Amino acid sequence: MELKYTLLGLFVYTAMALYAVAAILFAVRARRAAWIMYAAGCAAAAAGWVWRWDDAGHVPLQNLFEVCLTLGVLVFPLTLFGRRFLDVGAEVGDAVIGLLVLFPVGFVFSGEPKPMMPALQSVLFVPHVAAYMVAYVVMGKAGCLALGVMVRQGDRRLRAERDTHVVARFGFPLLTLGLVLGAVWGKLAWSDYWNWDPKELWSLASWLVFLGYLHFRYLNGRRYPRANALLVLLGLLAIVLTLLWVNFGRLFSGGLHSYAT
Amino acid sequence: MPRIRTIVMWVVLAMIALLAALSVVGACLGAERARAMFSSAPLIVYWIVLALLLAAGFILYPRLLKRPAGMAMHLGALLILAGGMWGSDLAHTLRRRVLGTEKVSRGFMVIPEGRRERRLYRPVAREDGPADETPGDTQETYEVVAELPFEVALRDFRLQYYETPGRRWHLAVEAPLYGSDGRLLDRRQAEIPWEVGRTVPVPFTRARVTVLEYLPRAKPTYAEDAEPAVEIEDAAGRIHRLPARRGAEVTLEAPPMTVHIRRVYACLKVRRTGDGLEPYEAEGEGINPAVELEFVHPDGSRERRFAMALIPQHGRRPGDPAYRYVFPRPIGAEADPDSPVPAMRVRVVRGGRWMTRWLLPGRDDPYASIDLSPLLAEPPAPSEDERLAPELFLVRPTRHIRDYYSDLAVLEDGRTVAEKTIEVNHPLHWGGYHFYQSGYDKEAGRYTVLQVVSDSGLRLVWVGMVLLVGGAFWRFWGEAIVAKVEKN
Repeated sequence: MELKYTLLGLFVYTAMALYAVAAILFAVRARRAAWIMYAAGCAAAAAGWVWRWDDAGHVPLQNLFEVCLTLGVLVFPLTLFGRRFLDVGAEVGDAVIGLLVLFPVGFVFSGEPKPMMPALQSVLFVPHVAAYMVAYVVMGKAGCLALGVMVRQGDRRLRAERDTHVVARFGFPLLTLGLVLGAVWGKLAWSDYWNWDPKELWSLASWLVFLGYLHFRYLNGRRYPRANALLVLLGLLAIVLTLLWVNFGRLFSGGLHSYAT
Repeated sequence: MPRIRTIVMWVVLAMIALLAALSVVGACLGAERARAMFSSAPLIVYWIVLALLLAAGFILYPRLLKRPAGMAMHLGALLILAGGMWGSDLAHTLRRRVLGTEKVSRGFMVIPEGRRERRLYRPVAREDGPADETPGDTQETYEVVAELPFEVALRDFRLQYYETPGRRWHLAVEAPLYGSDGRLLDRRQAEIPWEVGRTVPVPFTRARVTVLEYLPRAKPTYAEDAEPAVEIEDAAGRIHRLPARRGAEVTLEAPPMTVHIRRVYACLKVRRTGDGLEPYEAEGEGINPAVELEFVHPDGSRERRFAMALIPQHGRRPGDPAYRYVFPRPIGAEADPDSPVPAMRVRVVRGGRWMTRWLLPGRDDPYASIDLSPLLAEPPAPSEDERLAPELFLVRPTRHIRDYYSDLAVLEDGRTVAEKTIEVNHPLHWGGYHFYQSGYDKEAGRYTVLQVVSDSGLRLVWVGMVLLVGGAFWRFWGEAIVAKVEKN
């Protein structure tokens, strides 16, 4: 745990503070102020993202530090999209996601840019990671809404369940695209579209949980809203483990994805 | 929903849950053991059941056939499964046994520069666990699994580094520790944080070092008219000095002979040819400056010798005059904006003695060093630690590899039918196989390692993936957009 006394660090800490304030303001329903803080937080994170791109010389998606920074920028557009096109709210959750996702950027990961290994130099690098990043933020939002299902009662629970479903459905094709692009890139770079390595298997597991959720909902509809929500939360857990497993995975055994740390 | 469809859907859910659980187990096992698990007999049954379920789905859920998006997703999944099974190791083995086809699922090729190869290797499975798939990393035994009907030749291999000229080099000390039997016990290296003008202790010694000057880009300076030379000492003890140039010669009286300089090497290396060893110029690949000498005796016989600047004793025979390849020592350094290497002037102090030296790496050198033992020859006596010739180093910061390339050619019956420069992310596709840049000779870059993979079932998988992704976007995005547009 070390503070980053750099310009990037300044952007990130500012964004985190603004997201935290926005979350509180959303929770107490001071909506106008909340939106202003939230938008400002996104602007700070975006400034940091652009600065990082320039400093490192590549699109900031190469390692976990940069991935989390990207997620911290994407929450805000996602919230807007949800409001405008999906008729879904829950901005508190989104701001909290933004804060959580920037936490490792600010305090955990080293910000030292590293040059790209040959394995990462491909036109598929950015689309594969980008698809996953957007998918993860969307599923994170779905997870927050699923928490709402667990916590609420009656009509509000059903409404939350509907919202969860809308967002999870929106994220599923992105998750599928990320998985497939990873396979295509794997074929080009490492000779196989599937290597059974831990990161791939965890991404498959995440995808399967959401696939199971969709089939479960197809079968049972809205009869068991909390079961539906639980499946979404399980999927989100699998996603978090996918992101972090490579770090813990050294305890078990290696895999092709260990460059990401 | 009619009973049968409900039951089948619960079975589907169970299958999905099972695969998700198995994936988690596989993630804990690691890639090799997971691969073995997913190709094991019970899993083969699982895959077949899954494929049958998907196929049955089209019959049991006729609505699927009517909605292109859902249809595409399920068909895509089925094709991916089918392609994956068709391309599996087991399927290749079965086809070889039953149909007699030659194709093998995967293997490695190792091709030295300038040579051709048609054999594919695989590591032999060890008793104590799954084989490590990358050749060259550990002591592995390999067997030939196939011979391709064509040859692959390596025309050239190249490494490309990220260039970061001007980055600070590291200062370090190495004070090796030897046991009483002369065996190296510990290398004992330590980095010395430095700033110009600051004095810091040298680890493992009682000395202190001050960096007097650091030039980020520098070249050595020499005394007037200094140049590399070959010194030859005759039997009378007189030293003859020849400039290190081809054609220079000197005639000695004792032993009676004429010494000619035939060739000057920037870096002499030796390679194995059909009938022996052949020297060659390997400039840029290391540090071994040498001069090829020819001794011509009065009876007309000739002998060849090599004088190597860094290994003076090498190759001398009894009766030879003493000979040496001598480089002028630089007397200093000066800034040179075109130089890719720095220079550092240090003063090392110990007890009442001190020395001032330049650390001057050559263009491609990984480091420059100074032997500190002259400082230790006087009282105070060397400590335990210092007894063994510690050296001070100026070390190049690690260069990261940017990319590596192999220029390959495919030959059938000796004729070139295809050429491609491959790198990581860009394989060669020929004859039903993909050839991937997998590794290379880390010592000298003289050979390349290719991973070779069969392309069986690949097209099915690609089509399946397109259908799966396209279907997903249409189903969950496209249909929602269409519904919204129709509402308005």
